[in-house]
Amino acid sequence: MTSNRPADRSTDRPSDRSGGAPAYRGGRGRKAHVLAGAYALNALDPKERRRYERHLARCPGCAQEVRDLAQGAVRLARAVAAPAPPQMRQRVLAAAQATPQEASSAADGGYAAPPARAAHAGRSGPGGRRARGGGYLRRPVFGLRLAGAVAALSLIAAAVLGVELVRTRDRLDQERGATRAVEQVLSAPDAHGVSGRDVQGRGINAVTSRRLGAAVVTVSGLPAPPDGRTYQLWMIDAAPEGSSEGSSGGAPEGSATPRSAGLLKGSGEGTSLVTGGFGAHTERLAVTLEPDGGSTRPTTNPVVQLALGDP
Amino acid sequence: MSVEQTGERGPVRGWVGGQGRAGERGRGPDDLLPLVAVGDHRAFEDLYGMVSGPVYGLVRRVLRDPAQSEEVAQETLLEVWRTAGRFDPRRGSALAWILTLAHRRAVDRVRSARSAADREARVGGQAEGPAFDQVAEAVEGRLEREWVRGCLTRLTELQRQSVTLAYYEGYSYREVAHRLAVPLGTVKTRMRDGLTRLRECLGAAV
Repeated sequence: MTSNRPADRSTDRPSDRSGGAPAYRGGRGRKAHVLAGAYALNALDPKERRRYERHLARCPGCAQEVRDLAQGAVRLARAVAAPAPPQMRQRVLAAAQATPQEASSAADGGYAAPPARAAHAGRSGPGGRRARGGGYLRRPVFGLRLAGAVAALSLIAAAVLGVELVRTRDRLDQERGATRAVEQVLSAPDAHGVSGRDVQGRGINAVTSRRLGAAVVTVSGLPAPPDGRTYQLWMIDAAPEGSSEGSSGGAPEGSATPRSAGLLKGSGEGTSLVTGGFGAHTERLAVTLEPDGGSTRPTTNPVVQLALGDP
Repeated sequence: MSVEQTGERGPVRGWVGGQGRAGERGRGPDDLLPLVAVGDHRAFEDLYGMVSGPVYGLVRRVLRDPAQSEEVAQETLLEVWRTAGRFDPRRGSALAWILTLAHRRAVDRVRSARSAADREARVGGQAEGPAFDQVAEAVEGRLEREWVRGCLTRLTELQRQSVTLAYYEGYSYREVAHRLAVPLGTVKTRMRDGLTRLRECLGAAV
């Protein structure tokens, strides 16, 4: 059995059983290491991979060989290229809009790729390291194109579900059901995206479909609620036809009775609600702090609210 | 951050043909990734156009399941956005880096799925199947596929199986050795020799 120790090159040997094909020339004159191929194919166990990467950092010849071999792997990948599903594009681009970048660390010696599973759309909150490009998050997102807003919500919803995934079948099905409901709204022909954020970074994003009578809502930037309190989301309808025309801009508080759209978990970060009962006249969404368990009517002023505008 | 700056960076290293063609601005992944690393969304959009096909195709080749593949491909591309600053051109091409991220995610997932009991059942017999049927409907990259297919036939059987079981099926070299009933050292060697020969053969196409 050969050793896995990266420095051990004793297992280098010319390829046998070449079956008359051109002779192998890969290792000649280089500090090739027999693990280079397995590494380039990502066929090492994680532990071995890390060890080999430490070795690569000290062995320019090996690094060169890995680089070359990786080009072979790239060709293998391109040979199976397939068009990505069309809906993926906007999801990814919009998620990027909402995702802070990591500080650059190419120079820090980490050899190849960051650990998998690190990326996560739904957790772009204050905890994340903010890099040079991170300023995007701070920018008000009113200008976000509809498609972008739709896609962002979709991806966030999916990612949040992914994280909390407990791999039992029924739970999985349940979550897929939720994702489907979200996607249904997002792909409605009349889906309309709105988002807003105040200077403190507190915001509401919503995609509404009046035809389906539903909305997908996410909130962000809210502090954790005080003990005994819960964030509650409300839908507020426009004042009935014929009453004083405050229709848009500065619609008076209480122009119609707010209807509860559900409670948010914790600070509401990453929460996404598909709320039925979204009506043709619903013109605003608002979040208030309510006693645990929620209220039938708001008992405090909104922490954030969002005018939906006309679709 | 302006993206529309003139990009007279010349031909793109290691990037030819198929859907990997550099955009009309003449920039390929190697040019775009550094821009992405400083938060350039337009560059990311262009990059997406170039790499989403290879990323999605590779992930789906490994995972088979379209829904899971889409999820993993999305995660990968978002990871590209997030961690673009880690890319080091001295260590390989941008595409190689991106595909490595994709492959690792796909393989992580397929290995953990396999370790859940169905290890043997899932693969028995199909490992040696043609590597390309799954994506036959993909129009793009057809020439590329033909080249790779042709080059794969020039490997020894053991080399070919070692390479494709690892790359397309997501097996570790230990698993490959077990499946092919050959010593570990032999598999390691065949992987390297196979990739080397593949690269030499394919190099002619570039």
